[in-house]
Amino acid sequence: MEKLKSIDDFKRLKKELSEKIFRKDTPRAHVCCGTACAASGSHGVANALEDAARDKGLDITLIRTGCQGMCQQGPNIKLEPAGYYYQRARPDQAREIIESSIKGNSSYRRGLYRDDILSEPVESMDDLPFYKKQLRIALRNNDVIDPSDISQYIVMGGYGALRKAFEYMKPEDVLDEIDRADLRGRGGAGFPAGKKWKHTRAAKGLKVVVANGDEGDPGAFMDRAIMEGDPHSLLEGMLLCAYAIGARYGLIYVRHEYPLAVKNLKHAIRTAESLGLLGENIFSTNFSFGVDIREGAGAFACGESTALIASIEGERGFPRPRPPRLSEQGGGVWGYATNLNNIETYACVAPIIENGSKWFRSIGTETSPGTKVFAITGKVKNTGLVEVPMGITLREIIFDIGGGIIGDKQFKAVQTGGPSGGCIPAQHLDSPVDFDSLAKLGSIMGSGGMVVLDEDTCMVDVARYFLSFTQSESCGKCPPCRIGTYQMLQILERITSGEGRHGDIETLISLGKKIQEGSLCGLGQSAPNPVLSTIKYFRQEFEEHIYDNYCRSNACKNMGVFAINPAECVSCGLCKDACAYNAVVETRKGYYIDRAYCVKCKACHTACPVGAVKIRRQSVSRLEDQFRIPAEDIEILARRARMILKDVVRSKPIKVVTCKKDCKVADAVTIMDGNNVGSILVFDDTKQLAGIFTERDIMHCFAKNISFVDVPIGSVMTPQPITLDASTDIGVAVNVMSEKKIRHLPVTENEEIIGMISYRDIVSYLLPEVIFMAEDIY
Amino acid sequence: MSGCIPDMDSYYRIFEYELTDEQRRRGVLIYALQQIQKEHNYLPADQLARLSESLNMPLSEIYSTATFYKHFYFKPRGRNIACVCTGTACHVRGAGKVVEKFKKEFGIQEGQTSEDGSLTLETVGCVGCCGLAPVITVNEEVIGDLSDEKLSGIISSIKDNDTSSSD
Ligand SMILES: Cc1cc2nc3c(=O)[nH]c(=O)nc-3n(C[C@H](O)[C@H](O)[C@H](O)COP(=O)(O)O)c2cc1C
Ligand code: SF4
Ligand code: SF4
Ligand code: FES
Ligand code: FES
Repeated sequence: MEKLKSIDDFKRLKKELSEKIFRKDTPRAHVCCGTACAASGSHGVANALEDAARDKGLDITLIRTGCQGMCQQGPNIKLEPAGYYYQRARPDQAREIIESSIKGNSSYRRGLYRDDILSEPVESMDDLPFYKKQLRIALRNNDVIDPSDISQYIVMGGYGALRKAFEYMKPEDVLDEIDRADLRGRGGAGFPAGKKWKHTRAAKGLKVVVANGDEGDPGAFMDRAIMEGDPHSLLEGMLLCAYAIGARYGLIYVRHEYPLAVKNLKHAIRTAESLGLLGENIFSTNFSFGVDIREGAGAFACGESTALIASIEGERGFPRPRPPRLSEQGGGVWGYATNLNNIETYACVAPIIENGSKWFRSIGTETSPGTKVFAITGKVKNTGLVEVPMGITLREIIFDIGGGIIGDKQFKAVQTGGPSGGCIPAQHLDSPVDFDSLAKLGSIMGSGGMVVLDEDTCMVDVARYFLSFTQSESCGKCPPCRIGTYQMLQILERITSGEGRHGDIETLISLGKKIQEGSLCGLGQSAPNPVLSTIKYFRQEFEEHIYDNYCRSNACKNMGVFAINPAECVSCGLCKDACAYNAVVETRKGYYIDRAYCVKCKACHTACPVGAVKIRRQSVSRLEDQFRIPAEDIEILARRARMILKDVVRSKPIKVVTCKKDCKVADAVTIMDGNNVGSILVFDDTKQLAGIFTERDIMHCFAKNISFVDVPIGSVMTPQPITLDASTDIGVAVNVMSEKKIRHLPVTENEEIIGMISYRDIVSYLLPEVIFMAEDIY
Repeated sequence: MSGCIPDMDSYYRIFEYELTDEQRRRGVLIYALQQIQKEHNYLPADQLARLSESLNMPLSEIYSTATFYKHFYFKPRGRNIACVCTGTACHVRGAGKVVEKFKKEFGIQEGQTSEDGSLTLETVGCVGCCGLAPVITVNEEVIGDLSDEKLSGIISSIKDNDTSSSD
């Protein structure tokens, strides 16, 4: 293709191409050749389709696309214009697919998606539950075009935003549009891209645009999909950014593990250059922009912006202190002011310029407009890449799109934000997914990795896993990060190997806080998050490991007491073969495990085909031995005692009595008396909780001779009262109350007060359970 | 290109004139190391010494940078390289067991090479193919959805191919 010298040249080219490419009368097969599908053999399928069509003398266009999203079910094929969507395609099906869908007029039923064997197959991609709720902006072309063909990108509207900008917009207009769209960075922190661009634009000297394709968060692959499947959308975004801020050069930093991304990007850069869309004097204007690629060499810390700059310069990937910021002269690559954004952020730029900021803001939520790509992985049925409007709930993503948990097990938590994020438990499944809501739950959006965890996942082990990751990836510059994560890891390793000690949880929390405060870069500052959030929501599992030597998910070794349940055992003897320590004993009555020899290696547990080898908590098995109560019964009772504050709040009509700070003490006491409550919550003018005033405080006021009539409650209340989340265990609440010597406790959910609980409430709530348990046992 | 300076002009297709000579030499270091590793499968000491000369950079500097990055190896690696993904998605779907199996079958730890030099076992944070977890790469080929049988098949094919090729 010839170099384009003007916008008119571009328009002419687009018109020519549109007549040839994606015509309605030539059937097309879009075969997914993304990494996952390629690993499942999609290239073979593509070749077979081509051969089959040739044999039949049919004219079809075969397009090898990037990742289409539903990686688990790959290789995927989309047939256009009929719209049929086939999954798990095999080369030997090619003939039949061509026969029925191209030659004939019907779908090839065996290749279609079904929820289960009994349900009707779904013919088209848009009707699939996986795709129904999606809205694709960043991934707009991923399931359509061949990434190596710039013509297809152009026909799909590519470089149209660049054309529009050149034709109608000044650089400031482009910048304003992005600013108004409130496009927030998709790489982690959600910083507004418009603000960053403005900063860089204001800097002096040569400017550089850098795209962060390091994607170090394990379990996330959206940037990979874009770089591999639609590289021009990244280039166009970078071009628009360069145009807006007046940058001369662009660099794409790609992690070492993504060779295909490097290859496709290189090719895209070359073809864009040959068309004159990159390089000197684009469209014969005096705007020039050159782009190149830099490859990483395997260091998670290099995803951090200053470390990435250091790595480009050929240094060790140590983060650098700020200021100067990247966007200032002296802060970026080789000292040139640099605008750094994530790949997905750039991929959103062209559609915004094309359709306007209003359109963008109409999608998503008020504070987080637009869409976000998530990689749903882990114990979910349909793993893959999804792009959804912000504000969708976790439940919709995991259950409607992801199809729920594999094997219909119980959902336990979803990990978002990778090593910097946290685990969100089931009770928050209905909260919306956007930057601020996730942060409120103690996690982060991060780059969009979502790892779904089920009942078989041990939360302590998950915490340990993340810490071992950050510990080994810490660049080592700051002692709190380097040594602190090591200490935390050691504690967690002890806990998961059955040697937890009293006080470990508290040490973890205080170490975590210190690391957060004392680290230079985001890696250290966020490294304790996965641990702190799992302690917050799953403290009980930590306690079970430490105090009861028990892992409820049976994931940790060296835990619990091993026993064979004779009712389930089929006497196959596999456990005996598996045990290297001869702890499984065969008798005439069946098999049993000799605890004196058992080293808790779990070999028998893994070997048993019917799940008859049980791992029990010590306390339960002691009761079982002593009183001959079946362990199952004890476990049911134990579960009943395992209640959270929400249960208490739900169990009785709870009045939350409140007043304002300037309310007189006498009035407050009257209110309390009238409502027959022992405490009153005091709010300030901004409706924030300011303090609490209790029966005890009345006593203090009386003793100190404070005038009930004149003094406002704000000056005698206890400020900043302790509150607990509704998901907190009753046991923890009792502990907190007795340790802090308080009797009244506001209970919150999503930071809002949903009830008041007094010491007496808890005792009277527990009492029937306690009596019930006691009766049942004795 | 063994050990000499890689082609600077093609590496600096952009930033042609803006950088000092020292910045240019420093900036090419990681790329140069990658090229050496591509050729030799690891970073041989004599190659690094030559690189130090041609980049006019102290050898200690080169080592200081190279050791920071996980992707660089200083010892020869095996004829086959199995890299088990231990990223989160793979971890929760049983990557631990995959690592164990390799360790047992080849009698090595992570990062080690088997005695006969047939295999080096490595782990990686994520290969970006999480949809098919657990995932491994064998000599850069991505293999996903590993079941026990699939894994056994892979291991025996590594062993078989290796004996046939070394004959
Ligand atoms: C340890 C660490 C690792 C990071 N890894 C990445 C990454 O892999 N990809 C990415 O885009 N941003 C990563 N970030 C965030 C970047 O520092 C930076 O905020 C982001 O790329 C800015 O782009 P955005 O504003 O478009 O999100 C990381 C940050 C830290 C602290
Ligand atoms: S916080 Fe950790 S990773 Fe970040 S600079 Fe300090 S030591 Fe390095
Ligand atoms: S493996 Fe399971 S079923 Fe077989 S003897 Fe052992 S406990 Fe019984
Ligand atoms: S790689 Fe084919 S759907 Fe993801
Ligand atoms: S976590 Fe294994 S491929 Fe991503």
